[in-house]
Order: sequence, then C-alpha cells, then structure tokens
Amino acid sequence: MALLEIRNVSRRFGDFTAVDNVSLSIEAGEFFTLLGPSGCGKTTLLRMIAGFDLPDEGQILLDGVDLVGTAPERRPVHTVFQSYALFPHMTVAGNIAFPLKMANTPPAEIKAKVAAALDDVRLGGFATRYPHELSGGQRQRVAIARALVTHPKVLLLDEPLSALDAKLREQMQIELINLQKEVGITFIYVTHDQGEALALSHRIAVMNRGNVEQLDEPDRIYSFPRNRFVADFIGTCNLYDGKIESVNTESMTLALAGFGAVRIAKVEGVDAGGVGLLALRPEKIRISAADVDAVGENSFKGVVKELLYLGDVTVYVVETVGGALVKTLLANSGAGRIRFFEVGDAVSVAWHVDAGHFLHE
Amino acid sequence: MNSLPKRSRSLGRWLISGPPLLYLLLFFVLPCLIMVLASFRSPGDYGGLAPLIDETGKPDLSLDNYTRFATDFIYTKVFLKSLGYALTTTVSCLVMAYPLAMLIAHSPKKYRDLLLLLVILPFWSNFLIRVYAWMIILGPQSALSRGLNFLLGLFGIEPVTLLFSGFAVIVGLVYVHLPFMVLPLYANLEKHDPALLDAAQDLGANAWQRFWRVTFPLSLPGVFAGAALVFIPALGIFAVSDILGGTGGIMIGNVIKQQFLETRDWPFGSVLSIVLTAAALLVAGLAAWVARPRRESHA
Amino acid sequence: MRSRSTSRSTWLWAASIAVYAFLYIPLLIVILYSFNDSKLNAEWVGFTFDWYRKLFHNREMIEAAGNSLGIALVASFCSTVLGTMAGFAMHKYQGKLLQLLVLTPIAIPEILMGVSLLLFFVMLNMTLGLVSITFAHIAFCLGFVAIVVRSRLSGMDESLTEAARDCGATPWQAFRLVTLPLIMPGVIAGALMAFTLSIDDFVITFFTAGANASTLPLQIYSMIKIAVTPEVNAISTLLMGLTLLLIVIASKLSPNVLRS
Repeated sequence: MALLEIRNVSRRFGDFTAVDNVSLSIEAGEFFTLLGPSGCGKTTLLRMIAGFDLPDEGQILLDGVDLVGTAPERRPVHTVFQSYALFPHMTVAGNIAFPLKMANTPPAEIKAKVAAALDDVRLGGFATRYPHELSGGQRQRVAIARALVTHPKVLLLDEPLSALDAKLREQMQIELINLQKEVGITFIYVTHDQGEALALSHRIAVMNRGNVEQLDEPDRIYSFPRNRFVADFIGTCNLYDGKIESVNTESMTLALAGFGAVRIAKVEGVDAGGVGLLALRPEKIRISAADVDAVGENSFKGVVKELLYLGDVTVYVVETVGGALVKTLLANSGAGRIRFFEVGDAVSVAWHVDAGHFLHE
Repeated sequence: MNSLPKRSRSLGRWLISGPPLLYLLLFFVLPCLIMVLASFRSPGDYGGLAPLIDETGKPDLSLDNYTRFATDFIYTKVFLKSLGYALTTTVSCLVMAYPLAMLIAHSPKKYRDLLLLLVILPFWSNFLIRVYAWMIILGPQSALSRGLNFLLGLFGIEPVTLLFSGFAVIVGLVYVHLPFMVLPLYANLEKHDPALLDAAQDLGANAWQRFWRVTFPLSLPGVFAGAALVFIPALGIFAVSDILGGTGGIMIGNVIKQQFLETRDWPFGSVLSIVLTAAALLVAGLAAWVARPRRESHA
Repeated sequence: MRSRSTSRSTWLWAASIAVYAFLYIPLLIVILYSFNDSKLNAEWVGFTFDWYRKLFHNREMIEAAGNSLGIALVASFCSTVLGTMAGFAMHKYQGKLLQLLVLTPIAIPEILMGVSLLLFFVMLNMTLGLVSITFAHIAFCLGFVAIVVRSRLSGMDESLTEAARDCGATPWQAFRLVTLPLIMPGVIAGALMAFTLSIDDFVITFFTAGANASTLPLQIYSMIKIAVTPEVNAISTLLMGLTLLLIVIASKLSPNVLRS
C-alpha cells in the first residue's frame, strides 16, 4: 500500500477551485514533486497534507489512516517553509531542538540528536549562531535539519530553493538528492521550476488549475507529454496540429500543416481521420545544410528565420517551405566557432520517425 | 486557519476575544446605553436622575430634554461656538504643522526619528501642565501681556486681557493638539515620490505651483487624517477652556461638565453629550470616508 | 537629495524652528519658574529649591502621587493583559465587533467616556473612588495597547507560528514559545504607554473620582484653579522628567512605537 494516499481531494475558496478532485498515491522513500505554475493548487495541496488547511472533500490517508481529524502538530509530517521560518529569537541549536522539546525528548538525548542533525547538513560548528547571522543557503540547511530531526514519515518542501541564486541552487539540488537517498524519507517537493523537478524527482505530478495533468517519471513526462499543457510547460516543445491520414503496421502518416506528410510511430487507439498534436523536442531535430536526406527520417527544407546564441547551444528557428516554424538546437561544439548557420541560410531539418510524440486529447 | 475541528476553533476564538470584549461591553457600551436612556429621563430632586419608574408605576420617559436643547437657543449657540473653535484650531494646526512635517519628511533619514521625537516629547508631558504654561504666558503679569499692552498703549488703544478669552482657548487648543496634526501629515509626506516634483519642475512649474498642484493634493489623505485627530478631541475639550477661557471661552464640554457636576441635571447633560457624540462620529465617519482607499487617478 | 532653491529651504527651516519654539518655550518657562524665588509666575527674582521642598511636605500632593502610581500600575497591568488579547484577536480573527469596540473609545472625545462612566457607576450604587478610576482607566488604555500589539503582530512573519505547529507545538505552546517572545517588545511598549496615559489622565479621572479620591492631575488642577503657586511648576517639571524617562525606555524596546 502506498505511504500517502490522496483520494478525491477538493478545496475551494469561494468561487475559486484551488484543488479539483485530485487523487494521488505516493510511495515510501520516493522523491515526489508537485509541479505547476502559480495558482495551480500545488501549495494548497501541500498545506492540506501538512494540516494547515482542511480539504472540503476527500481524504488524505497516511499509512491507511485519514489525517483529517489530526492537528498539524500531531502529524508525522514536517515542512520546510519557503521562507525557512527559522525562529529568530533562538539559536540554530535552539531551532533544531524545538521539535525534540515538543516531543518531550529527554534533555541529554536532545543535545546528541541536535549535534547529529547539524552534522548531517554539514553545519557542525554553527550551533550557537542565530538565524540572522547565517547565509541563505545555511538557513535553508538549518530548516531542513529542524524538519528531519524527529524522523517524520514525510518531509514537505515548499519551493525551498526559490530564494537562492542559480549557482547555489544547483549545488543545493545535488545535496537534496543525496540527502534524500541517505535518509530514505519520502520527500514531497513543490516547485514551479520544471528543470528542478526533472532533476530531483522520482516521479512528478504536473498540476494545472487544480487538476493533475500527468503523473509519471521525469523522462516519460518529458518524452511523452500527455497533453498540450504538459508539452508546453516542460522544456521547450514544438507543437503542431495534425490529422491522421493512414495507418500502417509499424507507423502512421500525419498531414501536418506547413509540412505535408509526416511519419510517426504507430499509436494505439486512433484511426485514420483522428486529429491531435505532434510534439517534437528541439534537440531531437537535426539541422543541416540543405539536401541531406536519410532513410527512416522526416526531412523538410527551409530557411533560418531567427537564431539565439546561448553559449553552449544555439537555438535556430527555421521556417519550412510550407510555412511552419521549427525550433531546433545545435550544440556549439566547434571550438571558437560561434554559429554554424546564419539568418537566411537554406537548411534542412530532419527527425527520426520515433522522435515525435502524438497527443490525441 | 482551517486546521482544527470547528468546535475547538470557536472555543479558542472566544477565549481570546472574550475577556476584552466583555470588559468593553461592560465599561464602554453599557455606560453609553445608560447615557442614552438617561437622556429620556427626568432629573432627580437633589440632582442626578429621578427614579425610572415613578410613583404611578409608569416609566418616566420623555423627549423633554431634547426639546429643551432644540428650543433653548443658548445651547445650540455654545455648540456652534465649539465647532468654530475646533475648526479654527484645526486650520491653525494645519498651517503650523505643514512646514514642520515637510521639513522632517525631507530630512536625511537619520535625523527624522529625532525630529519626530522632538515633536512628540511635549505631548508626553502632562496635559494640564501644557495648558498651565499658557496661563503663565498669557497672564496679565507676563512679559508678553505687558509688552503687548505697552505697544497698544502707544497707539492709544485700551489694554487687552489675553487670558480668559476665546483667543487664549484657541491658543491652548492648538498647543495641545499640534502633534496630532504633524504625525499623520508626516506619515503621508514621507511616502511622496521625489521624482514627481522633479518632473513638475522639468515641465516648468515654479516652487509654489509645485507645492500647490503636486504636493498638497497628494497630501490630502494625511491632511484629513490629522484634521480628524485634531477636530474631534478639540470639540469635546473642557479643561483647556476651563482653565484658559474664563467666561469668555465656554465650550460645549464646559456646559456638559456644569450639567453633570454643578447643576446636576444629568438627563440634560446626557442630551448634550449625545449631540456631541453624534457630531464626533459624523466627523469621524466623514474622515474615514474621505480617507478610504481609492484608485490613484494621478500618478 | 535633489536640489531645491535655497530660499525655499531657508523658509522651511525658519517656519519649522518657529513651530518647535512654540512647542518648547512654554514648557521651558514652566520649568524655569519652578526655580523662581517668587510666588508669582511673573518675573524672575532668584534661584531657589523652595518650591520643591514645599512639594515634598505637601501631604495631599504625596497622597495624590501615591494614588496615581497605584492606579497606573494596576490599570497598566490589566489593560496590557486585556489589550494584548484584543490585539491578538484583532489580528487573527479580524472581527468587526472587537475592532469597533476597541477603537471607538480612542476616537471619541474623552469627556463622553467620563460622563457615561459616571452615570454607570452611580446606577450601580458604587462609591466613586480609586476603584472606579481604575476601572475607567483600564477601559481606555486597553485600546492603545491593542493597537500597538496588533501592529507588532502584523509585522511578524506568519509562517513562524505555522513552523512551530509543524514542529509539534500545540497552538498554546506556539503562542507561548514563539509568538509571545517576538511581540514582547511591543507588549512592553504598550504597557509603558498605558502607564503613562493612566498617570497623566485628567478628564476621565475628573468625572469618576468622586469627592474624595485624588490623583496627581486632579491635584494639579485644583491647585491651578484655586491657588496657583510655583509648586505646580515644580510637580510639572518632575512629571515631565518621569515621562521622558518612560518614553526613552519604550522607544529602546520598540523603535516603531512612535509610529502607531
């Protein structure tokens, strides 16, 4: 049985539905992320798990027991707040000792456990400092130590890295992954940063307007988005409306506006005449000088319309002869060479038949 | 917070708000209601209140006291005079407080708190002391009085008594209430964007125009807040007029005190109090309405 | 600071200094004449401590001072407790009724409270005296404390109380161990303010004191009306010193207490 089960949970604020009949199962020991834009309901859901809000409908079961009647202080669930919420009038040691005191741990044990917790987050000598004396990253680690010191069953993290700068954030992401592996506790992570979600999670629930759009492992969400919203929200994606023209044994042919006939891998459950979206990730499209054809690929000629130099890669926007816009990436692997193609160059874009993902909504 | 079962949530709420609520209901609301009731009753034989139920067993209630207020013009006159004094005080305070508030708002940050403290400090001395000080200054023996009368004498004008007059009362009122005008004005002026004045200057406005067309209109919420904080207390004052006013500077507060402690016609005193409360609440409501948050139509 | 024409600045400075002078000269005169060796507050005759000495032998004055102090201590304690509860409730529950009841006594002229409380106490057949004064003082000090506490609470990070609950604290523990220590400077500032208001109060005390009880302001008032001597100046100077001390303490604890 799953550790945490969310069954048909809804939460409304007046006319606004923050969480709309959401059901999820979260396994013990997994790093689970709720991902979505602001207002999608992820934080509301997190607060209901923590106990700071009650669902209007539905149940939240931890180890099979409904949490609804339990006050937040009695749930074996701890939160790392977005603002860290460290008590300014207590030292670092005082902060970390607080949950132990609330649990009536004997004073001798408290000292030992606080020291161990500080070591776990590599803040060994900081016990007597006050929160205002610490940097952002250090405060964050104290917040995590405080939340973990009583070994909760679930750790909730509410956009904990959003206040850190990019370099520090990357560092902390790696630390969080390692910490979770070490400690083995279930993490439920909330973020709006899709890159972060992809990097950290075992599974991601993509949320939009109170609903879960897709629940899957990161690579599957990335490669096989279930609908336009997910395709758009995760990474960059080329999306084209298309209609199925014919179905063969291994593949199907689509009529795509601006391209013509495009071959894709066969998808179950649709027949000729069905409409849908073709999702193509830019890195799966090859850009080359015109006149390169290959077997097993869709290839179209076009002209470079725009380009964006990003240092490690260049993004090219190519306009096909048919008028469609294709975003594609090319790594700048040639030392010293900045661009392979210039605006106006005649090029050819090609992708493998299996590279595209057909969504029928 | 929606995190506890409904029952204990309400219990917590009542435990916390209960005691202060009860105290205020008992020692503020109830006395006010009693006063309203008293305004309909008759004065007792030795002053105070006559019994509620008279000898015939009927409640002794009437509109007599209100009629008296409406018909006996002398009371309305005092009331209007008090309104006049309060208004004069408010305008004087505004004129005096404005430059001060502007100065503090434009001072470097580190001096602002000190300058504000200097404004508030006199306020924290005892109210009576502040009034008493003016008794000294305006008294007939003081340097000011004698100097003034000497000057007047040069022109052949009769000596004036500064003390025990409407003038003295207003000076006292202004003195006592000045900090109340400075603070809200300052709070408002502090928030003004200096770039607005630069823009106005850039577009050709001179100093006076910049003040009158940019600063002053933007400061109106502060002006009204200060005005309310001065006008309402000033309206109901009696100590200042009692000490400085003599017979020439009687305000409605003095009449109320007279009714309650000397004439002992409590019902009528209650009527006067109710009229005063109504006026105060009216002004307070007006001030709140003017100061309500609204969309900024000017940048 | 941007440049402004110097003549405007000078004008502003001049006007401001005039206003500051207006504020302080009367008080300085009072202080000055407390040392004046003359019964009349008219001309400077000579320096003396006589009036202060007379003050300390003035039994009525000392009794009044003692009363004022006692009342202020009790009233400030009670109004701080009630006011903190009110401020907390106002912040957390935003109830309209409580807000109205707490703020109205501060908004209306004092004489109205004085008079209505007089009626109230008489109807209860209660003898007017120190007790009635104390009840009255608590009623109007409560609001001030509530405002100070509430503004302190709104400046506090909400997530701290949630974090405390998250760490296993009951609502009461969260209040006692996290919220209260953090708002304590505000609570103390409120208490000092209540104390000052109580010691200084004249109008409400005037109506609820009855014939026998006397507080310092009432004593000063009768001295002003009946027999003005520089003893009044002396007691005024002492009171000013005391209040100054309390303000300094209060502002050290809660730098923004002035703003509320």
